[in-house]
Amino acid sequence: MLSVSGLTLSHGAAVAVRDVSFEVREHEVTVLLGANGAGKTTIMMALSGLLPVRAGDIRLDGHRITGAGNDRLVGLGIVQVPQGRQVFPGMTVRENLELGAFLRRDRNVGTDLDRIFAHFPKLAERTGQTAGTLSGGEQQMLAIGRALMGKPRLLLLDEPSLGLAPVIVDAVYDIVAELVRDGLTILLAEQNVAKALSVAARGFVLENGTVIASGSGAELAATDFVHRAYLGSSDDDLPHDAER
Amino acid sequence: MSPLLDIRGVSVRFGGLAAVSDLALALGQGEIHALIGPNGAGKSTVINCISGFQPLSAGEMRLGDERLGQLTPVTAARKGIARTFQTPQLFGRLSVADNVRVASRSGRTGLFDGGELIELVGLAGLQARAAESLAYGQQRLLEVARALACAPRLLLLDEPAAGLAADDIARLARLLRRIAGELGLGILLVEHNVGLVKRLCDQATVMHHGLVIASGSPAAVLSDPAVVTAYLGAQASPSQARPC
Amino acid sequence: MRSVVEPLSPSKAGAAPHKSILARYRPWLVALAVLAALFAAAPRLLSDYQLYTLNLIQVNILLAVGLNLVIGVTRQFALFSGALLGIGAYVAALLQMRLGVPFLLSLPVAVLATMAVSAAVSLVAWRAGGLYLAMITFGFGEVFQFILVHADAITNGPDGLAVPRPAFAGVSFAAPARLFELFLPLTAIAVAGYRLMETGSLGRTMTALGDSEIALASVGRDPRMAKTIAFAIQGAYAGLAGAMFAAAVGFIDPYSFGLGVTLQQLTAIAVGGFGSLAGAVVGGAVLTLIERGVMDLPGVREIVYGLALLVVFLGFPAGLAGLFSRRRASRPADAGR
Ligand SMILES: Nc1ncnc2c1ncn2[C@@H]1O[C@H](COP(=O)(O)OP(=O)(O)OP(=O)(O)O)[C@@H](O)[C@H]1O
Ligand SMILES: Nc1ncnc2c1ncn2[C@@H]1O[C@H](COP(=O)(O)OP(=O)(O)OP(=O)(O)O)[C@@H](O)[C@H]1O
Ligand SMILES: [Mg+2]
Ligand SMILES: [Mg+2]
Repeated sequence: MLSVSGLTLSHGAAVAVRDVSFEVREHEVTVLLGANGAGKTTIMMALSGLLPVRAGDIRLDGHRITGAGNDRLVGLGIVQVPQGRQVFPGMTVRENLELGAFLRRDRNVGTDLDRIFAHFPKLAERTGQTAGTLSGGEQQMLAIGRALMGKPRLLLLDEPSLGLAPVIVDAVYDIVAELVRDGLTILLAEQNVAKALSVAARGFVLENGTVIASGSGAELAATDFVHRAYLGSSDDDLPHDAER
Repeated sequence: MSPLLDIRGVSVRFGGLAAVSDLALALGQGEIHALIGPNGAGKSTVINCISGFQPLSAGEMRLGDERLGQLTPVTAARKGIARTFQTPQLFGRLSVADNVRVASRSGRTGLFDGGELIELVGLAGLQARAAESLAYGQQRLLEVARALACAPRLLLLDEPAAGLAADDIARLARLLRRIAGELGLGILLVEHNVGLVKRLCDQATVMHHGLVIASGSPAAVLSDPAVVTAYLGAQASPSQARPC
Repeated sequence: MRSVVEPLSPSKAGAAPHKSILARYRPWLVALAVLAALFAAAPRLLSDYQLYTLNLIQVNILLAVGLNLVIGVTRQFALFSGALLGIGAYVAALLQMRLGVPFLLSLPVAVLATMAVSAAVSLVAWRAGGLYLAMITFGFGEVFQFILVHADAITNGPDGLAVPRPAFAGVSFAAPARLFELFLPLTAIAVAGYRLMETGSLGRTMTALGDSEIALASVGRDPRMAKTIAFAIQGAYAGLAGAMFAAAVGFIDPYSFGLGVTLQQLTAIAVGGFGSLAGAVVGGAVLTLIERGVMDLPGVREIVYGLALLVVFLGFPAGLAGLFSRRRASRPADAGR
């Protein structure tokens, strides 16, 4: 569905992503793994037209969309949930969600609202609360809900589990699985490696802005990065000494 | 000896919503105390109370032998209470080094100087970068370094590990252990990364709807049935605890 | 932390870490040389009209530097530059006319008085942010103008005051050339002082205030104090500018110190680049030149300002100063590893 080749991106003069190629297949979750600062958000921003492409090619269903602006890409069905939950703080929960449906032509907004409230009962309790006063996790739920209201074809999820309680992380990943079953395509960046791999068909690992490994979930599980992510949860790496 | 932080009967109301009700919590020197609970439980509100950002509706707080009374953020900081924010609040136009410099005051010396702190949290090499140009995880780490630069007695961390990769979480955990051990700092840690809470914390308090529903050792509270339903999710089992 | 930021092209970053003293102070030495040349040559080479323009340029530079600190750096939307300029001008003029205080003594008094007023406004309005602060300061400016008009026993009301030409130890500074020789060192010192402030710990605090008030409070720095200092500094620069303005023009009236002045200055720092000292200096100078150039063409001035703003914001949002510093700013000094 989406194919990226030779993508190079920079912030000012600083190159953050170099010559990255990958594919996002239809009706699948593709996961983007990597350390902090590896370039995941930078790629997401370019894919949703918020960062200019320095070199390389982005194609949606074979059509070149490199350099298209954010509004056009949203129109084409590419919607991003930005990292660190960016909601409209002065608007209510309901207004935020309705704004997410702004570009839609169909009239089924009501049923989708109900579906989101069913997934996140917490939001249903707070429809009239100003988004800026929600707790961190409630805002994150709202950001995800708002993106879903846009009925995307391709959803870019940047760190969706950020700030969510484990029970809600489960809920989010249930939704992800459900959405994919319903035909959505998802590109996911996530530090919660276990959760991400539980839904991802394939993915790749970024380091210093380049792809160092890619493949199916099982192949990724064999990489050093994923290995360290699991190792980190064991109890025995906390002696006070030995830095590095 | 009185505990470093002693909170009694603290309540906060937002209109009709009781965000925190009759909270009691004590934290000793050198103790790392987890404050966990579902989204919207009131954890950040507690941090805001202790750091003077949120007036109490009722209750009292003591720091050592001193009654804290009506706190403002500035007086709280000057009494040795430092904090991070759930959504990073950096000085975006200042460099990484200057962010830490604004916080460090001569007269009170911590264990580390600014440059060391930046290295210890894992931001070596980024000193000259503007804070607003950092990746999300890097911003979170800088918040921790800046809070430590205040040379506090009590450190309040609001989800410091959210969005961090395994290596950075491990480094952060080592650093927190070390400062609690060597400096006798008390640390109140709000965190959704259950694995980290289990490995790092001496005590844990679980909130739900503003009320304490469990407290004790992390292992004990995390297997408490009430906590499992409200927070971890019904299907949670130890093996599914998030790798970090 | 693995960082991947690398320069696209080889940069000069990582040049010798221990620059020689000469290299370190080179920008200062260059500036000093340019100023010395200007000081020596301008009065000889330029016409009175041109020197008069240079004097006004300095007034506007000082005003822009002060406003830029408050709006561009600390991001407090204070809209009373015009009133502050007026306080400086009227205090200096009235001291000379009513009390016979010599010009050089009236200068520091004007500076202190304006500083005090500006700081007081901040102390009253410190909780107000954004639009509220804009409205409070705007209101202050209107009241100030009203007082100037109606306290005619002191201010001579709407008819204004003819300000005596400064004289010192029997030497008259009436000629634009003499005033220029007096002003240039003052402006140079004021701008250099700003530069020292900006690069020091106070400057850090000022930027921090503009970036996050709550973070500043969380590290134990009082945002209220920081705001008051910023306003006081703005007052000092506006007070100095006002006293110089009165001396340069020789006539002041209430209408020279209204919202129009503030909006002009806002245009100047926007065109120059918000937050940048170089931007304020360039912006203040360009503004004066535009002003002088289109003075006699009614309506044209507003159009020129409007166009200047459009060109800057659509073309290079970082302002004129951004054109020069872009390369430097985006140079990754770290290439972190
Ligand atoms: N505006 C910017 N200016 C300069 N450098 C930037 C800017 N934004 C990001 N960078 C740098 O680009 C690199 C990639 O950043 P990016 O935000 O894509 O990382 P990430 O993989 O999303 O990390 P995280 O897991 O922490 O969110 C990092 O080194 C970062 O510091
Ligand atoms: N100003 C306010 N007005 C109304 N409700 C508020 C306000 N501030 C916070 N709340 C509500 O109070 C509750 C507690 O918020 P708090 O930020 O303390 O939660 P939290 O435990 O930190 O949650 P999270 O894990 O999601 O960050 C939330 O339900 C929130 O919506
Ligand atoms: Mg990111
Ligand atoms: Mg919170």
